Amino acid sequence: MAKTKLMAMLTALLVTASGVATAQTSYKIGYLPSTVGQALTQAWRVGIENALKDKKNVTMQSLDAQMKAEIQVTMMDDFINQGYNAIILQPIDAAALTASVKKAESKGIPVITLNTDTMLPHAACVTMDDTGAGYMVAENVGKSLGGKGNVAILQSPPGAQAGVEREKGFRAALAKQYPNIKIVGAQNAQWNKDKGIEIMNSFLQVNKELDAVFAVNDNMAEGAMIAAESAGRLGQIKIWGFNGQKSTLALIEQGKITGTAYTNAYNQGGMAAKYAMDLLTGAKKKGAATEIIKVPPFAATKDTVAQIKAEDRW
Amino acid sequence: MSVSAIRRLILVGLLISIGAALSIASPSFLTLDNLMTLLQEASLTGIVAIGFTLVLITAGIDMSIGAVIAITSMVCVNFISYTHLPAYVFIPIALAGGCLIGWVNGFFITYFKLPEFIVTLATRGILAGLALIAAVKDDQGFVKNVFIQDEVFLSFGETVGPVYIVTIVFFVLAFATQLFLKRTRAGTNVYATGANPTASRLSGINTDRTLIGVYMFSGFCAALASIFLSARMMTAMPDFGIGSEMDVIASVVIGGTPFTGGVGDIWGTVIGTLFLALIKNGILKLGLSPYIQPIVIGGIIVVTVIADVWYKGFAEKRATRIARQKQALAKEGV
Amino acid sequence: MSANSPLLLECKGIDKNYNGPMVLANVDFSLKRGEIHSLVGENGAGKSTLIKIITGVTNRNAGSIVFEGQSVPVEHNKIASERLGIAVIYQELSLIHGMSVAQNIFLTKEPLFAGLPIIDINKMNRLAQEMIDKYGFDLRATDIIDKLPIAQRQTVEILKALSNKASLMIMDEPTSSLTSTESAQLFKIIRLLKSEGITVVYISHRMEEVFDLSDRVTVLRDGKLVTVLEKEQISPAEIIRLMIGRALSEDESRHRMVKKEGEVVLEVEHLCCEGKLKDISFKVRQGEVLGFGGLVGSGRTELMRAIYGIDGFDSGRLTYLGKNYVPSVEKSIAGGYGFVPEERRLQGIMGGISIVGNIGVANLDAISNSAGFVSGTKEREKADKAISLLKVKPANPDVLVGNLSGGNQQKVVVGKWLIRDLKLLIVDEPTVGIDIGAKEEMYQTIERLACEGVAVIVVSSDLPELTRLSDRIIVLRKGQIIKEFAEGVVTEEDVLRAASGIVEGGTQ
Repeated sequence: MAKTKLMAMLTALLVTASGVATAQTSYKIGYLPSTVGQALTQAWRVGIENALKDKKNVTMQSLDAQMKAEIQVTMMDDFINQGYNAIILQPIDAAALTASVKKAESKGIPVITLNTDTMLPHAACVTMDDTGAGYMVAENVGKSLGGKGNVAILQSPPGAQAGVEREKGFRAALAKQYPNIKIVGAQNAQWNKDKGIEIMNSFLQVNKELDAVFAVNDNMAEGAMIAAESAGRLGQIKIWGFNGQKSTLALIEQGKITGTAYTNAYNQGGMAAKYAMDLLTGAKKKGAATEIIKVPPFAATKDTVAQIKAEDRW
Repeated sequence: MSVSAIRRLILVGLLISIGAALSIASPSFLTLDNLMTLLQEASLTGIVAIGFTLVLITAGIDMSIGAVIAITSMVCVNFISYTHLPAYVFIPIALAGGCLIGWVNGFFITYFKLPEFIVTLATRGILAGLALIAAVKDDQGFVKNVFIQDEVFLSFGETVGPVYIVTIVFFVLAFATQLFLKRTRAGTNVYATGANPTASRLSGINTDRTLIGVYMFSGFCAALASIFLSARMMTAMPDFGIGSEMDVIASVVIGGTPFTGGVGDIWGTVIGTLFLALIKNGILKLGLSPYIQPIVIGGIIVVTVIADVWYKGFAEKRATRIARQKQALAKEGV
Repeated sequence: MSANSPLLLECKGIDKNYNGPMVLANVDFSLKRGEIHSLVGENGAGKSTLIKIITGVTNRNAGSIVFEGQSVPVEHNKIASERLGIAVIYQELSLIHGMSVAQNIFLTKEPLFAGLPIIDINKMNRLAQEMIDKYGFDLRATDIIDKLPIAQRQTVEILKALSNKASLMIMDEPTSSLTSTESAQLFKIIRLLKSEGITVVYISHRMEEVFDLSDRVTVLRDGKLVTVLEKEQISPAEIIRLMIGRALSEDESRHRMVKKEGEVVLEVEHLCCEGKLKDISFKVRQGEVLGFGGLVGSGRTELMRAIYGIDGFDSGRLTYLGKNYVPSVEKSIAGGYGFVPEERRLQGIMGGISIVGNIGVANLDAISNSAGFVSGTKEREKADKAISLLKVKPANPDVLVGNLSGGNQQKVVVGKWLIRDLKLLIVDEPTVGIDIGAKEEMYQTIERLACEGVAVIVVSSDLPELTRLSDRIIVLRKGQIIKEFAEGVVTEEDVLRAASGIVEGGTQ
């Protein structure tokens, strides 16, 4: 018994040590989100893990780029140098990660990006439809305000593409369909809740008449909700978030947050992992252009949130 | 053997043993690709650290280096986006910009006799803000990180054989700066100014000019590193380099240049930079949490500084004891 | 005056004031080529100012200077004077630590490889070693400065000046931190310099050195030239007479020592401290002012620091209020010892803090409760008490001490101790840098404290001050008690003679 175990360990060692020789039977997949500390990136990870659960010959490793593009580039290099077979990447910046993605692909390592596409073609991009979902949020806000009112936006940091796309979609819809809705403020709340509270407080002080707030992610929406609640104006302001994380969905059920653009992040992560496996096993062939796979958004409000099943909440 | 030589030997020993341990622990460590990327990483920090070493030798500090990296990358990307100037024209301009920032730092420090830390912290803030303002925007005013396609510019991120150009430049710059420090009058003045500014002035050294020159060099090094960073990333971001001051300071201090001035050299900094890059790479390779990285780096700084202070005290005590014994012997002789 | 005139330097009618009283008034000073010329005078006679003017550190208000036949402009500076060939061997040495002897000698003028901006280190070391060997110094060109004793560092400074082709070397108290063997070595070097045709200006309080070395002596007093003595006129006694000068009236110059019968507060027996103090024994009694005289470097300050507990000592025994006492600063403060240090700015006050704060710090025990919390009211009471006792101006406890005048700063330092239950007060140079009015007030304070039964130890280089205040005077020389004036009449001259080591007309 002990002998078999030892043999198995030795084999495993040999397998890892000889890397290339056994590439056909054993795969390493790297997962590199912008940061590991967010509900979204954790949900992706769970999605990826679930998709790879029954594949015994696949190992998955994740690294934390700590929201710095320079660090993410270093970590890409590390995945490449360690001979990973595929990389699932959420680029912190489209331009900054392009070179790394190109380098990986040139060494035959397919890269599947999440949410943010890069400038040069690679295997695939599994993305939430940021612009479309932003548009959808604006339509909902416009309808509920009756086409008139003051709106503020909690932005993402400068250069963060996903946030910018969401905001662009939102603004485009308002300009086209609800020209009487005025955007009274837009400030960077750095994706996070604390900053969301701080920025929302200043919006509340400056604007006595504020009818709606769009935060380009749920964390900032939750921050905005806390600020509005302590100012006693929660009932008067429609708050919309983006992503649809579990905690936000619960707040929507309680009626504290108006709605969010929900995407099934588990599914999204799973799709990316499945795509990677298909490429590795040869079930799919890599095309010349990036294959864009859009995960459709869903407007979760108090009326519709019940449609999202418990196991799909992240 | 002198204190600094012993210290250097210990560091090199550690460098080799950590490298050996990593080679055993992680099969992908001792590959050409990994070593070259490690050197590339080290070189980006190292180029900035060379300039910072000179500042530290004069007993000063330059907190603006990170912001110089940011603003230089913004300057380059603006040239690329809005002008048709070739890279060999605007790169010298960008480098001159780094020198200019250093000159401003040096001018305020020497002319108004302001503390180095405050002056450079202020320029850091101003430059970080300017970098955001200068960032290229799209038609709706959102910061857009330009994907650089200028081939001459991008060639800075290329390799010669397996070695990255930045690594070659780092070692050449290190060699030249070491030569400058140890073998030219201006280099000697840098040490003298740091060790004893009053005595230096009495000896006829223009300490103000020396200081301004040192800060200009520090700005130049940061700007140079910025160009290599932008070329590597094929883009420029307004927050490039901000926060990288810690790594630079750590490299220099681990390399044996103290904050007290008058001592230190470039080879120490080169070793310190490699040491730090190795530790960071090792943490990645071993799959450890990235959050322990700053803790490890902070810990190494504390340990080296304590060891330095302890050893210095020990050496001084020994020197006094020997001197006493000599004196006693001399008396007996009489 | 031509370049081959016998005079190297000629100063005429030099006036200088620093926005206040005249520091130098119509002073003439001349130097012959290749002579050793001593410049003497009491503290404040104007020696340093004259040197500063010659070396361009400060500018004169009136008068002319001719050096090597060239007239030196008023707007002179240090670097220009060095180019002329004037070098100063500084008391606080101006060498760069961490560098070698050769590097220091050739700083800013290192030899280069022909046509390259690269220093030829081998050549630099060789040239330095050649210089060292030529003068027969015990040095190696590659030695690092930090590892050399003070005397050898001074040698490096002299070499540095020689490499600058200096024709005039000014040495300000060069022997103050040297042992006697080292001093003898230095005198050999000075005579060697003279034989090379270099002129040396020698400033010292040690009359026997002046007597041994000098070709001529210029005596200054109160910013005026007294006289220039030629070689045959020089004798230590004569110099001292000229320095003190003014035909002192009986009451001014003669002070009767008073025997006090109070209880002994502090007794010091056989105190020794290697290299600094040697077998010091004395007593100080209640109500007595004990003066300590001696030259700078004679061990006075070291002695005070030792008995207060700042620095340790090797052997000896202290008895304080009848009990064996091993001093430490905390115990000294708690036991009613006060100490007003020599360097007020460095050791006595915290300039950025108010009067209240400064006084509070030294009296934390009196103003805080057992839990360690400071009572603002009590702190203020103490400060008000000190201010009114000493008439500090302005009488505002919230003024930052750094903004007070020197005299008032000194009052705050004394005030820190005054409001305690004081038994022994040590004051080191109590009136340096304060004006005459404030001096008088300081004297009165010290006298009043003595009347109240406090034992006071005064250390002073100011002879009139020392003789005026003291009931008894102990003179230190080279870390030893050389003389005690305990009874009878004593004059300033007596003290200076003792301090200079002159016993009845000759040198010791």
